[in-house]
Amino acid sequence: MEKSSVIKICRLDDKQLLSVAAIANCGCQKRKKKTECNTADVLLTKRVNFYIETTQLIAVCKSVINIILNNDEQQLQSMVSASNSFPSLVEQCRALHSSHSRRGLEEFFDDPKNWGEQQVKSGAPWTAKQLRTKSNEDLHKLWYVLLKEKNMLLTLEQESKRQAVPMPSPERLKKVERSMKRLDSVVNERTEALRLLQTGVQNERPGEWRKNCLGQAIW
Amino acid sequence: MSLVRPRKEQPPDTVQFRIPLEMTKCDVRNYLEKIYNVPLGPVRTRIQYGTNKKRNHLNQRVKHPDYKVAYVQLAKQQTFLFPNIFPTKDVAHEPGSMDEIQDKFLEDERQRQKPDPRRGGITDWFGF
Repeated sequence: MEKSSVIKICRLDDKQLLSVAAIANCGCQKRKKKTECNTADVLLTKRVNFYIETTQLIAVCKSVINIILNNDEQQLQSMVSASNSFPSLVEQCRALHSSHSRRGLEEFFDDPKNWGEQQVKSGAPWTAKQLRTKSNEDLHKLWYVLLKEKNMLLTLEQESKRQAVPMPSPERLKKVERSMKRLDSVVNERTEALRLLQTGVQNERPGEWRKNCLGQAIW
Repeated sequence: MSLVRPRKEQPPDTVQFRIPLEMTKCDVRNYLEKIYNVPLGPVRTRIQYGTNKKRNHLNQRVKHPDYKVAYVQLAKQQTFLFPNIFPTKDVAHEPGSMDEIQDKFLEDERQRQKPDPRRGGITDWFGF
C-alpha cells in the first residue's frame, strides 16, 4: 500500500505536491498520511533543487553563447569572477576552448586551477638521451610546446614581481631552458652528422683557416 | 616574450608585451599570428632604457637591462583584460598538522592583543 502511495505522489504535479506538503504542516497524526507527507516534502525539495540548478545552467549557457558570438574576453572574465555564487557549474567552463589551437592569448597564462597556488608540481626536464629517441617532427612540436611554456613562466615571473608576490615554483623556468638547450644540441648533432655524411665538410659556413694577430687558428 | 600588465591605462583592445631587443614589429606579428593564432591589428614598439644611475654597496653603478615593449592591437573588435593571476585562496589545513597548530597559535596571540570587549571600545587611557 505504501509503495503505491509513493508512486502516486511522484506522479503529482508541483501544485498538488505543494498542497500535500501543506497538509503535512497542518499536523496529521495518522501514520500513513505522515509517510505520504514526508515523501512529498522530500520530493518537493528535490524538484526545487533541480529547478534552481537548471535555471543556473540555462543562465550560464546563455552567457557562454553570448561570449562565443561576441568573442568578448571581458564578459568571460566577469563571468569567471561571478562564478563564486555557483561554483559547481561554472567550474566546468574554465578554459573557453579545450584544444590548444583555439586558445590564443590564454596560453600566456597557466591553467586557471593553478592561479593563487603556492607551489605547482612539475616533472623532470627532458634529457638529451630521451630526446635522441624522438623523430624530427616530434622535436619540432616539442620545441614550440617548450617555447609557449617558457613564455607563460616569464609572464608569471613579471606579474609576480609587479604584485610583490613570490613566484610559484620558479624551478620550472630552469627546467624548460635546459630542455630547450638539450633539444637544440640534439638537432645540431643531427644536422652536423647529415652534413658530414653528404658533403664531408667540417664547417657549416664556407671559409678557411687563418691565424689572427694573437697566433690563434680561426675559421 | 612575456605579456605584461600595462602601468598606464590602455584601450581595451591593446595588449602589452616585453620582447627581446632584436625583434621587430613584423617579427612580433608573425610570432603571434603563427604560434598563438591571434588575429592582430597594428603593432607598435618602443625601446625602454634601463637605468644606469643606481649604485650598489661598493658605489659602482649598476645597469638595469634595456628592453623592448610592443603594444599589440587585436583585430575583429576583440578586448583583452589582464586577469588577476594571484587570487587569495582560503587554505584549510588538515587537523593535527604543523600549519594548523601555527595558525591556531597566531590566532590566540591576536586575541590576546585585542582590548577587553566588555569596555565597549573605550581605550585604556581612561582610568576606569
